[in-house]
Amino acid sequence: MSDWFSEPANWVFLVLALVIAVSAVRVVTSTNVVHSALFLVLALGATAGLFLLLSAEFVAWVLVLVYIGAVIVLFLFGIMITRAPTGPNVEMDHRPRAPAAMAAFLMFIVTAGSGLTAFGDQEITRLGDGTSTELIGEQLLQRFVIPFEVVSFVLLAALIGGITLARRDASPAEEEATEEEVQA
Amino acid sequence: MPLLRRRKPRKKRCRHDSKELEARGLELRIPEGGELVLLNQFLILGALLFSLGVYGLLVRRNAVMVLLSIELMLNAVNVNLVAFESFLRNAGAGGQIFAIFVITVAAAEVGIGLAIILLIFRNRTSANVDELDLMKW
Repeated sequence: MSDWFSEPANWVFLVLALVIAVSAVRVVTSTNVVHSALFLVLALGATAGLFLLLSAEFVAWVLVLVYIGAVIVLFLFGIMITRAPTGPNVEMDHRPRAPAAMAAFLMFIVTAGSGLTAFGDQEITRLGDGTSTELIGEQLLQRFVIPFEVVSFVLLAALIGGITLARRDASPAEEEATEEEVQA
Repeated sequence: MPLLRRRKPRKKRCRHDSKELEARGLELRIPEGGELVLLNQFLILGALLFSLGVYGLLVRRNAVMVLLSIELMLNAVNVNLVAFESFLRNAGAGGQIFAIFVITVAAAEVGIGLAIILLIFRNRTSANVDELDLMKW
C-alpha cells in the first residue's frame, strides 16, 4: 500500500476520484435542479482530467467539448423551459428512498466485486504511452468505419427527430388559415 | 512521448532495484506513471459512478434529473472503456473509439429525451415522472 501511495499518478487519481465521487453524490442528492446540472459539469470535468491521466487526450477534449460545451447547455435549457421547481422546499425525490439506495448498493457490490475478483492487483503499464489521435483517426475510418457511419446516421436521425418532436404544430384552424392564404 | 514507451510489463522487482540504486547514490530513470497504478481503482470508480446513476434514476421525480442520472451512468462506462484501453496492450484504439461513440449516442439521447420531456410538459404542464400514470391500470 505504501508503494501505491509512492506513485504520483495515484495521488492525481485520488484527488480526481474524490472530486468525481463528491460531485456525483451531489448530482443525485441536490434539491436544486440547476445545482445538479452544474455538479455534473464538475464530475465530467474531473473525468476529463482522469482521461488525461490515462493519456487519452482526444477523448478528454471530446468530453469537454461535447458534454460540458453542448449537453450541459441543453440540460440547462431544458430545466428552464420546463420550469423545473428550484425552490428549497420542493419534493425532488420519490419516497421512500431506501429501496433505490439498496438497489444501487447491490449494483455497486456486484460490479466492484466482479472487478476485484477478475483483475486482482493487475497494473496499468501503459499509462504514459497512450493511443495517439492519429491512430484513433486511422482506426475510426478503417476498422470501425461501419459503426462510425451508423453513429453518424443516429445523429442525423436524432437531429430530425428532435426538430419534429419539439416543433409546435399549428392548430387545425391555423392550418386552414394558412392554406387559404396560400390559395389566395 | 517515445521516452515513456514500454512494451514489457514492469515487475515489482524494479521498485526495489531503484531503492537499492538510490542507496548507492545512483538514480534509475523511471518513466512517470505505469507502475502500481491498478486497473481496479478505475473499475471501482466506474462502479461507484454507475451505482450513483442507478440511485438517481430510481429516486428522482423530475424527468430532467432522470436524464442527468443517465448521463452519470454513461460517464461511468466511458471511464471503464478508457481504463481498459490503457490496460490492454493490443487494444488498438478500440476503447477510446467506443468511448467517443458512447459520447455521441449520449448527445443524441439527450436531444431526443429533452424534446420528449418538452412535449410531455406542454401536454401535462409537469415534467414529473410519477404523474405520468395515464397507462397505469
